[in-house]
Amino acid sequence: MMPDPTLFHGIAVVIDDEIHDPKASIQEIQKAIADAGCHIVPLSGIPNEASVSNLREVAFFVLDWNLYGAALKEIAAGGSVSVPSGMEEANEESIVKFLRDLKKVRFAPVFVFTDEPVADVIDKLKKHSDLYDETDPSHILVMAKGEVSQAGLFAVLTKWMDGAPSVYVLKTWERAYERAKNQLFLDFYVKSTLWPMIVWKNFKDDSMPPAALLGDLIGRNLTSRMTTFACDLEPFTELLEGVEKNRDAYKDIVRRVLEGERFLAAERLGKDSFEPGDIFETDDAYWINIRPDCDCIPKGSDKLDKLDLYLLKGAARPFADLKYDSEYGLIPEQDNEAIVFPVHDGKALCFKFRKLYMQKYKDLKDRRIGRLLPPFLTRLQQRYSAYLQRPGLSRLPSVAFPSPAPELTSLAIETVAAVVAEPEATQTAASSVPETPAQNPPATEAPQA
Amino acid sequence: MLQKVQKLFEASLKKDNIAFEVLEKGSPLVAKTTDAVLLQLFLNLFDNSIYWLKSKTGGKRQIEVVLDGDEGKLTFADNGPGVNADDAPYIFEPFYSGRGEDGRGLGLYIARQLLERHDYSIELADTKREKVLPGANFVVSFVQEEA
Repeated sequence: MMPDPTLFHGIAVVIDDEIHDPKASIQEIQKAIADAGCHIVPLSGIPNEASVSNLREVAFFVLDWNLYGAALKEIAAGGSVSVPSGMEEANEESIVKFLRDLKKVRFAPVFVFTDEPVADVIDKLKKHSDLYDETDPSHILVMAKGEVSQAGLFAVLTKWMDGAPSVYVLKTWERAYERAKNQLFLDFYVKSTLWPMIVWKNFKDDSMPPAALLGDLIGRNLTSRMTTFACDLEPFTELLEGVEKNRDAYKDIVRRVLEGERFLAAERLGKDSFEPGDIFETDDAYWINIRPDCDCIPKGSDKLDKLDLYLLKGAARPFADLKYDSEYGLIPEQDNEAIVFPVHDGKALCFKFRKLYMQKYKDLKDRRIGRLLPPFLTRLQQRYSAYLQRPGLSRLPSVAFPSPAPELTSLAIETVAAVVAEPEATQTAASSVPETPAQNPPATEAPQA
Repeated sequence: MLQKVQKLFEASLKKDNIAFEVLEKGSPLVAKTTDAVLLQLFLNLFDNSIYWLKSKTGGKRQIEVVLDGDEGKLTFADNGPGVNADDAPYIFEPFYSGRGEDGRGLGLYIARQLLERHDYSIELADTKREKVLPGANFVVSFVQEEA
């Protein structure tokens, strides 16, 4: 890949205990960063916990591993000392804690440039698989300071990025995002500096929650300005070749990535809101909320806990029972169900349309496992809508066909079999779904929180 | 010097909730040796105390250093579990460690070796009068022994 140092442009935080020593090797690295047009924030030690949140906008981090060497050198005044193990451990602990705290607020490349043996530092990082996965390229690069100076900082960074497509996409996307964000706020600012108040009042006049809708408006406008994403991952394709050879490991990676595309786990969702697509798990079933998003927000004196979820009931479908249409790469479904896969640790969940259940959010909020995201959610909702409006057709008697009757395709068999197997259930479903979106189910059929 | 070394351990002291105090008695304590020797001594004493204080549950964790210039002595004390009577005779031996796999068994040995080169000494306080806190108390004498 052609080097593109501009992907790293922005603020660079350099943490090194020798940052103020004009003879230290970090000076050469600092100079290379400054020469490339980046702004440097020099720190001689790990920032305290409270200030980590200020690092949200940083493009990348350069970090020394040994952050006590300069102080020891100064105190020893030319002598040498043996560093006690507790001190090394405390240094390692503080760096690991910083990397963890940082990851929560800013996922950006961290370059550990050190005078310590590189293998030792990597061994220490490997103990923390959430930070440094031995089997997967990490957002952390460890390299000897001397080697960085020799090769040139940005040559090192670009070469490293050749093996880290996730960082390449992050940096490329960030550039497009920052551009779109700036354009968006500038465009509205030019229209009127009071633009937030205009839309706020508008939402309030509609008795809608203004903060949530203002957020939606910004999100929509931002997305519209980002439609062209210039990103070329072709040079990275060979990275997959090695991984594909291990069939089971590759399958696991594919499932995890596909799950990330369509399912947001509960730990990323705040309990102070719910949305269509939220999936809940009770002892005997899974439930997906399909209530329209505008009805999932409390209005006026409404309380979130008292709002109703409109739920479809589902169950985990064993893989042995799943069929796969290899021509279109999809799972054939019956007309009265939607199967979502992979979600919640690689499961396939099958939601049935026959009945809609209502339950207060407060009764299920502690059982939420995550959220199905659009367009997978949109598809499920649209299939449910189509199911509600399906016309009843009389069956075609087999006698109408010349003998023998023509063979059915496997996909058609699935659909026809469903109707044949459940004629009564399908009828019941049609009559059990009220015209108004939902009705209270019998107590025994409600989700048991 | 002591303050500089304390600063190096500041994060650990804070994290493990250890109070640190220095008391000066009489005239200023004078030690004729290199900064590196004193640094090594204090690094090992701090490291040792912090390690054992971590195992102390309940109550305040403390390190107290008494500088007695009149007697030429420094007492480095903590209120951790103290040195086991069975271990006491061996703690200045090389590769002897009460920390199990966590220790290299060289810290106190190196401290004594360096001090002895200047005819200074380091011992465990063995009388109640010498003890500052109820845990491990190390007495460093900067009075050069007569040849």
